[in-house]
Amino acid sequence: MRFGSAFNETLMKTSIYDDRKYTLQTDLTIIGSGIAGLSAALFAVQEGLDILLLGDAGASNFASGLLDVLAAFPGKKIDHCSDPWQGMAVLPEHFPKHPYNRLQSDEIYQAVVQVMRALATADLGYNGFEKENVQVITGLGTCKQTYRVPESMWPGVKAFQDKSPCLLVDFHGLKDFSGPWLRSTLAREWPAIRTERVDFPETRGHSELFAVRLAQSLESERVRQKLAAAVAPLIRDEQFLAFPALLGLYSSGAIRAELEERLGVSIFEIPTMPPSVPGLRFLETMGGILNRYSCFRRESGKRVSHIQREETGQFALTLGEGEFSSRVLSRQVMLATGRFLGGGLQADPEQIREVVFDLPVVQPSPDQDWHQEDFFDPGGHQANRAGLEVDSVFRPLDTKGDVVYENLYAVGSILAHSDWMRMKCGAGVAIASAFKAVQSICTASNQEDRFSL
Amino acid sequence: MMQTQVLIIGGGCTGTGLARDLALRGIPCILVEKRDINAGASGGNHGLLHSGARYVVCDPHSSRECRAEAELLKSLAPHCIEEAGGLFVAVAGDDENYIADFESACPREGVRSEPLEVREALEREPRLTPRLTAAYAVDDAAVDPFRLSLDNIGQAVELGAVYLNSHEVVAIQTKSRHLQSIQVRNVQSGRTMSIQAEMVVNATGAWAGHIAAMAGAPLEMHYSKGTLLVTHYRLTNRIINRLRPPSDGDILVPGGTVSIMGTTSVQLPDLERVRPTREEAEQMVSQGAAMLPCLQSTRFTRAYAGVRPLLKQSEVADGRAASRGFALIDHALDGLDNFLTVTGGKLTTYRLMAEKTADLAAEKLGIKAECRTRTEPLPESSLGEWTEGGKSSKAWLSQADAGDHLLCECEMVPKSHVVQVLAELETQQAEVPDLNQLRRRTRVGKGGCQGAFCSLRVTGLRYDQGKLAGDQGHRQIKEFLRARWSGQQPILWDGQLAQAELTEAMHCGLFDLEMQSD
Ligand SMILES: Cc1cc2nc3c(=O)[nH]c(=O)nc-3n(C[C@H](O)[C@H](O)[C@H](O)COP(=O)(O)OP(=O)(O)OC[C@H]3O[C@@H](n4cnc5c(N)ncnc54)[C@H](O)[C@@H]3O)c2cc1C
Ligand SMILES: Cc1cc2nc3c(=O)[nH]c(=O)nc-3n(C[C@H](O)[C@H](O)[C@H](O)COP(=O)(O)OP(=O)(O)OC[C@H]3O[C@@H](n4cnc5c(N)ncnc54)[C@H](O)[C@@H]3O)c2cc1C
Repeated sequence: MRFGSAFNETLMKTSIYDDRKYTLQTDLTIIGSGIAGLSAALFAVQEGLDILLLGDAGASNFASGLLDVLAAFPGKKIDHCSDPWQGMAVLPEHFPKHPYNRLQSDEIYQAVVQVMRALATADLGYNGFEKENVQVITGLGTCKQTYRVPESMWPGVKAFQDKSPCLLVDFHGLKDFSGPWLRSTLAREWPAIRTERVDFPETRGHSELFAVRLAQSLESERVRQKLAAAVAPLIRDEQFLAFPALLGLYSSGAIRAELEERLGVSIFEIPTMPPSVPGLRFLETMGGILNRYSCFRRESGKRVSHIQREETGQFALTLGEGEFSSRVLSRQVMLATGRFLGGGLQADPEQIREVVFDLPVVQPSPDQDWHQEDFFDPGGHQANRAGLEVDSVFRPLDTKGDVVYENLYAVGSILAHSDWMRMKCGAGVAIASAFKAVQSICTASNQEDRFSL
Repeated sequence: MMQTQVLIIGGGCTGTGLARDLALRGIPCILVEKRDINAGASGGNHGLLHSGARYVVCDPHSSRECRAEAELLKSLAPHCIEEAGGLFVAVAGDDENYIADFESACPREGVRSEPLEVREALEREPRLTPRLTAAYAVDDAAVDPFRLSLDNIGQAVELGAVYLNSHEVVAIQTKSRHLQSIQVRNVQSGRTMSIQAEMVVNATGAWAGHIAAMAGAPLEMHYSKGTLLVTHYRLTNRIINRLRPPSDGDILVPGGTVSIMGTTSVQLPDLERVRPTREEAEQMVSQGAAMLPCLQSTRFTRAYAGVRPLLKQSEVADGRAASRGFALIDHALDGLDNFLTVTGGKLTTYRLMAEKTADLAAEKLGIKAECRTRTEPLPESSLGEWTEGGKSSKAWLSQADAGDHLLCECEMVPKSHVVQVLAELETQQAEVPDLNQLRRRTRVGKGGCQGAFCSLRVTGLRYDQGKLAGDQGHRQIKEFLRARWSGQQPILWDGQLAQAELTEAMHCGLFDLEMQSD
């Protein structure tokens, strides 16, 4: 790995401070509203910081809603770790530069729990074991290891553990999900699964159904009633009833409880291919929670088109372009812009760049392949470990190893040395890095306050 | 044990074309292909139906063959061909002498070429560089090689020929100047069987030397790999050729909704690893940008490679080659009376190669039967129906059936097409057809997402139909994504890198497929 081209200092010319130029002033601007940006926003508003959250769709819009912390070590062969904290203990040895190594295990745990608690206050419960990963069956019949699953999937974890009799219902025209696939793949391990396919209520004439649309339509009581009526006669002696993950978008907890009551069985959801409803629930619910705070502001849909640093060290951000652009003055900036899919990193044939500040990106050296020849190479691909190098509180470093700006942070999947897809640490790294960075901001501003007293 | 009159080895355009030619003459034959139709060079080329212009200066003989065959095919197989027309263009710095040679050679060889003003050329193809110094319009066309081979084998089978997919020739027994029996292994089941034939034709392209060696006949091949890139959108209406001696990155051929950029020439020691590389991809983009500057910022969805079947020159020099363009070898000279090899040549001249081979085979078998492929149109088969880019989507948009839905959203391939193609494959083989076979017969896996989504939907459908069981689905998807990856890996930057991240996020990040057994 090496650094890409040195970033361009002249881009960051300072200018004279004049507060009439700004439509908004804030403590912290978070660029990116994926899992990392939303988590950072949550930690920050809970500390009472004035924040502005930017960004729209990123990788997190495709995410499953499962919350991974750590479940595997890629290498010549893949090592599984069923206890993420045990994995964490040996991480420095195998992946010395992994972002997790900048936190204590209990800090990471605290961070995850803090997000879970907030979600629970908005009817989006999560569940799991303290010292062990959860095994959850996916729509492909694979058994995925993750740390926390939405409450809506929890009965499935139990049912799979005990191999309890279970009825899996899917829908005509829902091409993204096949019950028979799951059943057949698991036939040996979990023979007591039975499948049925029904018409989804009020979809006659639609030959093509999408999970997100169906989830929305289940917000209507009439549709729920019809669904229950269609499924009730199919249940034999099963105690468990499974659906592809589409039981409501906004009030999924209540919807599932109501269906359980109508049908007298324990109901659970199975993760589907993206876009996944539980992933969108996470984003929606986090957004709703943040809106409760008066110190929270959000501007979605506008990209950061220009950034300048004022003499005072604050950042002047231009949002959008031309007539409709606005200017924001921010004491701190946090990059949570994701990777290639999120838009935080971009590559041409020669090199990988960071998009907003053109920060130096650690990346494979010219003689190293970005990607292995085998897609499923057990060691993963080098390009997925490229990203920003940071200090102990997640501030980007330049090629000499110095902090670029003392008030610029980077969190989430844009960080180098963490192949979240192969280590199963996507949401975990996003949440943990956000937690540490916000902590550092709070410590720094407390100190400033003390100085100004 | 199976018996037949002619055994053809190799299911590229040459082998399938030969099967049809023999079938039309009423000569029974079996075709064995170790992988799938067009798994070799016939699936790894530009799909350029040469007007002859490209070879007019350096290889007039091939040029003439190409011209004549292209004209025939345009009238006999119009459904496989888009008469896009072509341009030869020179840019500042290109060799003036070559341009002059080209201008004088075209009329001499009867290749139509019309000089254009630079302004006119730019009007026809606005993406060309304004730094053009010369431009000529020619009659090049684009041909869909998959459709062509599928239609050829389709008619052959209808007329009684037997086609065996996934059957590899692994050994040949000879006895007193005869190939006595051919050992064939089913690569899916691992079972072997033997085939006896009065005549054996080796139509294995670049692999011809391997087969010849099994029979004990000397035949040395060059392995020259060429890499091609597929763009996300079609860049030009016409075929664009660089007006200079053939070299890297000098052809752009439209293929339905996309364009194909080619190619390179890399010598390989053997045929073990035929993969496009990142260096080749980058090299071609920078070379091609001299004619088409937009290539620098074009999104490429994949790369692929083929190996040119080239006979080592000494073989040609000792007079056994029937023609300079292709080689038809009667191994009687090597002491084997019922063994022919046909290799070399071009996709454009496949029919001629098949005709000459069938003529020789018939003569040696003492059968009097005229070639009919020169006059009879190639009928459209249902298997080749959905290979063309943009065709599925047009059909879908104009007349979707109630109850049907799209399994591939990038290329708009509906469930009904997938079901039709898979059902037909099932009638032809005992094994369950896989995603890679489906990909060669439809647009599935060929769009922007390169199979990330449609692989899952098709697999779901196959379980719904009860055609897959246990973890077969995981294995099929892994095999399919691996095959797609070999074309992805060389071109992963910009938008396609983000796409690859999504694919890996789904299949590894979420579904843990990297942890499932192969
Ligand atoms: C298919 C899929 C399945 C997944 N499944 C799981 C799973 O099962 N478990 C798990 O833990 N994780 C999963 N994840 C991963 C999880 O989503 C990642 O860990 C997560 O994406 C971390 O993202 P992030 O917040 O760092 O960036 P992203 O989610 O990519 O967000 C980037 C944000 O930055 C914004 N942005 C970028 N550039 C700019 C700019 N110039 N101006 C303003 N805004 C900008 C974007 O609009 C976006 O809001 C999955 C992801 C995918 C794609
Ligand atoms: C990069 C490139 C670009 C080209 N561009 C063009 C073009 O634009 N226009 C044009 O006219 N020509 C072009 N050509 C040439 C053209 O593609 C080939 O000449 C033609 O496809 C050869 O067809 P074939 O059937 O003889 O060989 P192949 O298509 O290679 O078929 C041989 C078959 O034999 C099978 N086989 C091998 N060993 C065995 C075995 N032991 N048992 C059973 N089966 C076996 C293989 O799997 C393969 O399918 C190009 C070639 C290349 C490489």
